[in-house]
Amino acid sequence: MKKVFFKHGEYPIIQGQRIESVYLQLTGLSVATVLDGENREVVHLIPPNGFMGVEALLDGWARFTYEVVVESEMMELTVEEFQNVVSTKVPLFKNLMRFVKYSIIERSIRRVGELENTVKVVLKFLEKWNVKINLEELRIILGLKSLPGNFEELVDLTPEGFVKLKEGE
Amino acid sequence: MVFEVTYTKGSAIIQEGNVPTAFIYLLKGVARDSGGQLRQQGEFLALEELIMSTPVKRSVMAIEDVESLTFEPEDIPVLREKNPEVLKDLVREMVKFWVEKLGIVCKKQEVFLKKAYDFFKSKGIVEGLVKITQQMVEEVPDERLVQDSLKTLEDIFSMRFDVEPELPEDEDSAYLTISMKILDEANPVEIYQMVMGYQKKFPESSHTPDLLKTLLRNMISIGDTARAEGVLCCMLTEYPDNKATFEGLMDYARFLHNMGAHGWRENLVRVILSCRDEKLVEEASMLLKEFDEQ
Repeated sequence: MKKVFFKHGEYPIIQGQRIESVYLQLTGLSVATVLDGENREVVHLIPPNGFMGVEALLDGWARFTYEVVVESEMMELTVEEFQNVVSTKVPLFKNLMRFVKYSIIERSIRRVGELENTVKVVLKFLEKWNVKINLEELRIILGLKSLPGNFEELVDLTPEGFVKLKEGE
Repeated sequence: MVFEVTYTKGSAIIQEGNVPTAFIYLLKGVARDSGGQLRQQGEFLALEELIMSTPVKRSVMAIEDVESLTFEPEDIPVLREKNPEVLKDLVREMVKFWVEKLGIVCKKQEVFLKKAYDFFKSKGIVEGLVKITQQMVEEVPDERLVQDSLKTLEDIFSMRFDVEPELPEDEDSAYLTISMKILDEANPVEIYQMVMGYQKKFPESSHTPDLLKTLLRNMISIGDTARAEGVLCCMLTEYPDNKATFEGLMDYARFLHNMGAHGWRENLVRVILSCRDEKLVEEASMLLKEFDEQ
């Protein structure tokens, strides 16, 4: 078990690869994506206390490509270590349950495909997790090639350049 | 507390509409849910509803005497002592449910690898390609796929990947060609080669500084620090007084700051000291103040 750092744009795990390590996201933000030819689909976020590579428990290989969006500190665990901690530490077990629940909810909302709604939900999640992102990072987590022109109607920017929901949303 | 509960034949184990608060694991015996499906030893009941905090969809009745384990998340350490296999099953079941609900259809590993390989190749992301090629060589039985990925890797390392694509001889046509590539969001490495080729071919063109600025943004957006620095270096050497160069310095400063890397201050100071555009100088000063306060 060791602490590791990943920069924006790094790929700790790539879909189709055999998973050697499961990562516990400590700080920052990553996304789970499914790559297909030239395209990629963002499936869900990995917030602080979320996990990367838990699908290793099924057959050992990765269903997703995980990409770091906001520089992240992570705990790297072997699959065996992961099984151990998740079955001894109650908070970690609860985190896994919460992570499963929230990523499924997020996926369902993304599947509906209404950008406005997805933005609201994602930003509310991020606020709850105390993760700050800029516009470029928002574009990445929404899986868009560029932000639509009317985007300013949906979000505000803080003086530091971080995205926040419009007041009253 | 971990409870061992026995349900006699005909009794209800779970009632439809209730929101479950504990895990129920069948140790022995057979039950049937209201959809007619048999539930047997080694299964968790209403696991989905418990995780998602939703009401139970189907009641479950014991059709013979059923022995079960009931426990809450707080009981995990106790359960690990008493019955570690149940816990192992539980974590695995949760992950299985998660993957199914995310709608990721189970495909062969090599299909996933090939899709990821195509993506990284089209985007020119070397880190991904290296990881995938290594995996392909080790695990994919399809010889053609392996050879293809090895060739791509060989091209990268022999720098053939960086061979400049041919540009039209005429300056305007070349500019148009590159603009189309940028609009099409083509492979960023290809755009890089074309813009750098354009700069060499038409260094005096009025389009060049802006093209380099766009390229710099492109490289920043894919996190290619090495190429971004190369572009910025070219802008500073060849077009030191151009507004696009100062805008590039500001963009790169923001990028470095967001990454928590050093060097952003020098870029902003350079804009403040050397740029003649008052608006940009003001913006750089504000950024400097803002970043310093963080």
